[in-house]
Amino acid sequence: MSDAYRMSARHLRDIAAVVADLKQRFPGMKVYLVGTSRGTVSAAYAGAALGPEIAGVVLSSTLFNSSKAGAGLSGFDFASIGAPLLLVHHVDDRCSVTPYGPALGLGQRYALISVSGGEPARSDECEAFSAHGFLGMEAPTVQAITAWMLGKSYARQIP
Amino acid sequence: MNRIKLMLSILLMLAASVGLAAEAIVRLPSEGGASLPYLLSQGEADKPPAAVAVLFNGGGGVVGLNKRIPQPAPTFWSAHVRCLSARALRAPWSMCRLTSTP
Repeated sequence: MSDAYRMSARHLRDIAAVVADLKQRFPGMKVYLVGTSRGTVSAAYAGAALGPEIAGVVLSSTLFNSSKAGAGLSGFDFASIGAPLLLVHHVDDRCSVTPYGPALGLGQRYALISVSGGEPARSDECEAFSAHGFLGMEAPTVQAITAWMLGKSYARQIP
Repeated sequence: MNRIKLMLSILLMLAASVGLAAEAIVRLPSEGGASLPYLLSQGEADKPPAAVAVLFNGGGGVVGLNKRIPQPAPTFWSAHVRCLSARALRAPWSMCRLTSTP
């Protein structure tokens, strides 16, 4: 799935259809969009398009930089997401298209969970079994995200 | 024809601890007679969820639901049980993508 497709009207229509189906299945339930790495392109663009239809957007290991596969979120206006936005990033994410710096900058305006530590990488630096995938820090990271979704107090720094 | 390019995993976030996951493939009607499938996963089907999260994988975003369905292979189910059950919220979705790959 290319970045261009993730930004396309067709993709957004599909996401809107799924969200509508979920709201029908679970009336009154808050619906969040959660994207990781290149999936953040889908979540961010859909978040901007769906507006009040969703309760919030979570972007983990955000694709801030462009690559051969597409623009990523390099030109994206994060302010276009009307719903609450949570950024989650490992401070030692070595993937070239998902640096921690921009997340830290956006953390001035949006909620940010910064993760450090974990296990030594067992995969490419842009794959899951590394800091990019919060290897060894999955439990506290997901727990913090879940707490944010549920409106509870959550850890901004992990550990 | 299924439009599998779109991969949406749905995880029902539970406030309480999660037991065995209940999962199903939902197919929605889509453009041109195509169907739009997504994976609906609920931590504990007998307990009401606290919120719903639509998960978007990284990488190519494709997990090959068309290859795993209509008869989910044991590896598929066990992978998702490992990812999404209980203690399930402890695994990142990106890891689920990798571990669910046959």
